[in-house]
Amino acid sequence: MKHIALYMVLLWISFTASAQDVSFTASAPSSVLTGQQFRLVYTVNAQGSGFKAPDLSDFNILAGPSTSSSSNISFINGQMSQSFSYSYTYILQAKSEGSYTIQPASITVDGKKITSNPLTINVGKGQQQAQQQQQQAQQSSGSDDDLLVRIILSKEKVYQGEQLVATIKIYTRVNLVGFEEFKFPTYKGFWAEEVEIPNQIQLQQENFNGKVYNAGVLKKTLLFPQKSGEITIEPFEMKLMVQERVQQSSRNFWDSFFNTYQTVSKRLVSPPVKVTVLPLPSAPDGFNGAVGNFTLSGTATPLQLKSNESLSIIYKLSGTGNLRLAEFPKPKFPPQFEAYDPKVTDQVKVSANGISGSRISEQLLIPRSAGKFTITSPDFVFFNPTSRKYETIHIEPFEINVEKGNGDSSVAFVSGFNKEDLTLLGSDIRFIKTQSPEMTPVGWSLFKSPLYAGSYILAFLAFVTVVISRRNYIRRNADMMMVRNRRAGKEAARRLSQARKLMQKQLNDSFYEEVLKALWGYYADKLKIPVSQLNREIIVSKLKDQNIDENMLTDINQVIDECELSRYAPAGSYASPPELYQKAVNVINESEKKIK
Amino acid sequence: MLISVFSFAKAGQPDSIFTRGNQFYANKEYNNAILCYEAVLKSGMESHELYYNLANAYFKTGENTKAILFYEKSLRLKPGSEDALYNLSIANSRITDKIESIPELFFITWFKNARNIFALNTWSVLSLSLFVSLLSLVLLFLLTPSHFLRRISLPLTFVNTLLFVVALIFTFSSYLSRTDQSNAIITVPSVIVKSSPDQSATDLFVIHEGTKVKIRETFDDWCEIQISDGNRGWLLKDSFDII
Repeated sequence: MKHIALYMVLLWISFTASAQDVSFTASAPSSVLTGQQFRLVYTVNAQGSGFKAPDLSDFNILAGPSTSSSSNISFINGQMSQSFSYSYTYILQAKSEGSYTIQPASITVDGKKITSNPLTINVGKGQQQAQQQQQQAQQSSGSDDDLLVRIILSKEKVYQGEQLVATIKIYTRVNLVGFEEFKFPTYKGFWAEEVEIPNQIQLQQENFNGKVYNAGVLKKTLLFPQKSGEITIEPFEMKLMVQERVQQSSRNFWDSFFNTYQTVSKRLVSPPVKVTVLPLPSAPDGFNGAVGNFTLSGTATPLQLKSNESLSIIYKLSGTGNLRLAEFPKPKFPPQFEAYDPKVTDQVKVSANGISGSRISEQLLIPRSAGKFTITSPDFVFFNPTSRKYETIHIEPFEINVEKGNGDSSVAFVSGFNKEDLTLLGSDIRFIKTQSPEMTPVGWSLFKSPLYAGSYILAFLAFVTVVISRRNYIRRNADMMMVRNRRAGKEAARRLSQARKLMQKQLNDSFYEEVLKALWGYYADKLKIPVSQLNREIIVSKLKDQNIDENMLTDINQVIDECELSRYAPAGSYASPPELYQKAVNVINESEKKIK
Repeated sequence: MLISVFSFAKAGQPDSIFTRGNQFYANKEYNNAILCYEAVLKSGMESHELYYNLANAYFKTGENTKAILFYEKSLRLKPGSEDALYNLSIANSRITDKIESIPELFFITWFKNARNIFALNTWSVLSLSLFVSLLSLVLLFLLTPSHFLRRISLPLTFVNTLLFVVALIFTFSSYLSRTDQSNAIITVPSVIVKSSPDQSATDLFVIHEGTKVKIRETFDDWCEIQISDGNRGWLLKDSFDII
């Protein structure tokens, strides 16, 4: 009984409370633009009558008043409670700029007349419908921190090519009804790869800026910056429908249970975010832009084959990083090899941790002639952002042994037609000179050096000297001959007188010798014959040159012959010494007269 | 590394620095090779191999214009050097200007080709030896008592005289082309050729880095140049380097 009484009391209190706290509120946006439509809503939480609208002549009344009513009946602990809500809605349009005050409206509830709050509306200058709507949307999003979107980056400082994750998240403290449109950032300056996330957005409670929100991931994207510097990511925009509680001034107890919601379209714009992209340190040779952590293996199969059969070179690159941007090493093939374009297959998983997996390149080669070939792969260089260093993977060269193909292949290449044109594989400058050069001082030349001109002068001087000295020698020689020529007669006379003395002493041998000396010496001197060249032929030819007649020549010859014979033969067989002496004197006298 | 190269350059002989430069070049350390070769040049020595190697090193570091300049210098010391001509043609294929050059008269080309068979020093030695042999033949003619030798030495003397004159002409021509200071390479990226030695003069045409020009006249800081298609104009002296 006591309990029932208590409930009765409570019920009464609640009823009286509801009866006493009748609220009548007017609501409208505080600022609008000219030409813009807006709603003016009067809400009363009790059944009323005699609604009297204020003067709205400052606005165009496009529609209204339209009434709507809602009533909520709830049972709590077996008790029924009821709340009413009546609304009178006008759709208005502002005519001109300015600040307008809408006077309170009035309504009679339970015989009492109650008035609503006055409203002040600022009308700004509007231009176009679309812009108005946008501004309205911005207003609603700006004024409301119960609902926001953010782009969250996993890192704010990255190296060029290093991956980062951009997560677009929505934070809400209101009920979301549905999404209308998204405008995702284009991630200019990045190579973007979308991470797959469940289609259903899962909301989880999260603390942000000191408030607890329901947060959900809308999209996850892996980003690989393509240039260095500070890159601003464009904001993310979305339009969505939220259920918003109708603004009510009353703090009615029942209101907390029986809220009135309306569905509102909102536009959200994320604050801009910036990424600092550090340039890579100066890259070594062979760096192709691979950033991450990789392993690379290379194989060639088969290593033994016949010409015109095929082999393939397989590279397998695995690890995490910008796998799809990484380039495989491109080995230079011998020109005898026919190389086809490599086939690249990806086995890549894109997750929030990055792109990982492997990438395989398979290239088909056909050697066209036999031989031993070495295919060298260039080193694969990548930048490891964790260690901040370049790392190099070296792949051992492939040694390929190509044997001569069998019969059928030689049909294709008939010997003799197998000649190949010399193909220039590339043009480069020729190598340096390595032998030790002959250095000369700058500007020096042999031609200009005094040594050179000196050599000419020296040669010429030598020439002149030789000519002059030869001339002198000849002249001096000639002089000596003249002297001898002049003294020839005297010399002969002296020898002959010597011979006469010897004859008187009966020294026949010495006599003949002296006479011969006198004759030879006379002709040598007289005919300018050097003693070394002296013989009878020369004397004869010289004498002939001097126009000496035959008789005299015979005489001269006879005297010389007789002298020589008497000298070596027994005595008395030829002319006696006095006769010979006389003959020699005669011959010399005759010669002296005739020879000049 | 740089310091070590320089200290080396001061201490070593030109030959050993040259060899050191070659080692750097072979190891693809072209900048160090350039330092070595330049050090040899600074010591006052030159050779066509030195200029050639230096040009190669400049080419490898991408300094095409300097490469052209030094190939030309190498060719000045050893005209007709096949390697230098080949590399110069490669370097020249990378310059901006493609100028149609006026073809030379055929006998001038012949003369130059014949002259370029030997370098200046070879011509010098050759003409000197021909002079000496000419004098010897004259001596033989004058002094020999033998009729036979005398009869032979006369035509030989004539032939020798002819050869000597030809060699002397080539020697002089080589010397003139060696000391010729009228060829230059443009070293600034691009320059406007003016109609007279004055900044406000009419712009005639634009030439670019690496182009070879002939200097015809000099006036203050200006030079009148001629490019290979025959066009002439005035340039400031600091826009080119003389080969």
